[in-house]
Amino acid sequence: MARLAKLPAPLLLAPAAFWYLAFFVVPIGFIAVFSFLTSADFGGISYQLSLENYQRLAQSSVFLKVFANTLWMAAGGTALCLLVGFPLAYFLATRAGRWKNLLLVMLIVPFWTSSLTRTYAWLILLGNHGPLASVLTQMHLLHGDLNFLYSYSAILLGVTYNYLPLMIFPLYVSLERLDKRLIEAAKDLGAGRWRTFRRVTVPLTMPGIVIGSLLVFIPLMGEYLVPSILGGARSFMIGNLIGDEFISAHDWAFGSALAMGVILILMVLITIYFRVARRVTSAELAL
Amino acid sequence: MTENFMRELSRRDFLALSAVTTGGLLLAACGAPAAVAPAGLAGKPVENELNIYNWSQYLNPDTLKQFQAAHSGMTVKQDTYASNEDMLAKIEGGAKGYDIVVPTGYMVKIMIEKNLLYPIDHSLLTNYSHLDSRFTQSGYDFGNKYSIPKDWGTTGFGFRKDKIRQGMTSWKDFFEMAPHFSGKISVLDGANEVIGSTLKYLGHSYNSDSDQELSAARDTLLKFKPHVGHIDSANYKTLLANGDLAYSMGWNGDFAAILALTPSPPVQYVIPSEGSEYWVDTWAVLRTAPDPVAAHTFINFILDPKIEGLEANYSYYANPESDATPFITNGIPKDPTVYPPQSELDKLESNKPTPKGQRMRDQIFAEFKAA
Repeated sequence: MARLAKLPAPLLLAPAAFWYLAFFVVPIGFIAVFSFLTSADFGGISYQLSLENYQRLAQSSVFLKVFANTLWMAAGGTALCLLVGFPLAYFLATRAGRWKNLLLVMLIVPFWTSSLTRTYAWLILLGNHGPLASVLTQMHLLHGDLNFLYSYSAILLGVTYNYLPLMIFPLYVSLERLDKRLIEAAKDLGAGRWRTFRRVTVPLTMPGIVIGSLLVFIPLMGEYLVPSILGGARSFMIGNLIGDEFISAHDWAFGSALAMGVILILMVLITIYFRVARRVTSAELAL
Repeated sequence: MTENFMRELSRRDFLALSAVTTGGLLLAACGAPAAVAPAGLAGKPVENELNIYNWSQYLNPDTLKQFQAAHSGMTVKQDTYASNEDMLAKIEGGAKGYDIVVPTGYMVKIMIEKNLLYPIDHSLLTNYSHLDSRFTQSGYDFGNKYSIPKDWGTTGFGFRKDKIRQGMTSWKDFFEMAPHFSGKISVLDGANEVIGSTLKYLGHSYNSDSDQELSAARDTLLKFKPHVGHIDSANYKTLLANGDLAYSMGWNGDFAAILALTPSPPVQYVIPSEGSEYWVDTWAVLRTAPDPVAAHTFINFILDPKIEGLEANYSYYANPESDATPFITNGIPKDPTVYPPQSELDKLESNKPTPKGQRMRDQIFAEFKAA
């Protein structure tokens, strides 16, 4: 480490810079350029400048509808991850004691298997002929079909399951760093449990909440595997729409415009999100 | 489900898997392939490698074993795709190294126009004469200059006889019975299959590109959508066999494969009375094929009626060689699901969209999926 510290900054930054240039900036550049060109019949790009894709995008009710669908799924998934993840992270940071490391490892273990495989496993577990259905039927709690799969709830379950650790780790880090004396101070000064939590714990762990939510929300906006496996015919996400435009419809130009549209809207949403988050945090702390 | 069932199932791959394999190559692609007129292959040595890019479970492993036994020292590799469009996207995206692909007739035409296929050298195909003559005069590739018929089939639907006792015979039944089986219905994940079927229901051509007819199809589909449980080209067989679906659009061989299970599920395949789609899948050699002689050798090997018989026994799809019939077992040649009577065949059209029709189909299908 001592040697690394002596390296000049450009050298330290070079690998990441190269990586982002080659695998992020260049591809996005392609997409940006394609979005201003025209699609050839049955696929490919013809090098003809046009704003037509953006006109179509502006008029596309399908885009708005699918975007709203996806936003709904991503927001729901993020909220659920936060709801499930916060108590767990709190427990890990404050009460887990000597079990802490073991529990943290257990959180990671499922990731040794591909998420595709794990998502297919839910198909078996939750299917109308699966173990859950048969147990419930035997306990006379279920009559007829379970019919849980291929619904919005099934999608939420799948994405929460897959993204939960992305929420827990940042929360855990900020809860771990939380100065416990501040909580004691709040109690000494007469604040109840709920008030301490709301006025001290939450504002001080806001960075973890903000980052965790973002880490879950952003990839969820692009998620389309889990919805297409667990969601049946009601699972058409913006990722599916863009994928279909590129692969099935062979309309690369419009697909690129769709992708640019998503990027732009997300940038706006995230800017607003950061501003609000900062204001909320400082307001809470000021009180 | 037994392993045997899974093996028989799929002409089409898992949706998810296809998403994974095709996701990465969207950007690699610009520019058309170089138009080089290949020289005759006769007399050239057979390469010792062969790479086949095929639908999943669409080549009998026994065929491969026999081919490799006959050509020791040749390495044969197979990679799979889930739809003609996936395959085209990957090949156009610049994927190199594949020799043989398996496009459906309409896709052969598109690939010929895009200059992606290698002209077949008929002098290497000594078994070509076994093909029935009607398979040498197809509109998509008259005279089989770029493609050799592999098998053929129909697009229709299958229903559960235990759930629908009165039976089903038409696209009218398919669309109008939907409210009674809401959520237990599946359609193929293909714009042309879904919109073509709707057009047939409305009394139009499968390939219509009239604004008015397509807009009527769109309205019908949007009204139908709330009842659709799945848009899927791979898992519908399992769901129908399990009874999770009441009825499902699909390809005939898939239903024949379900029916061959023991015990046979109460499923019946229907070629709708309004008519539907008839398709031919083909073997084609890519223009970029590194091993064109090996590819021709392989196609010629398949054209041997004995091997064609093996293929039909595995895929449950009808074979383009009458000479192969003695080698097809399990009563498949007499199965009306696989070999429909001429009266039904007369009602079928092949899928050949115009560019305008294709664009409109893709837009309507996106709207249908989003609804």
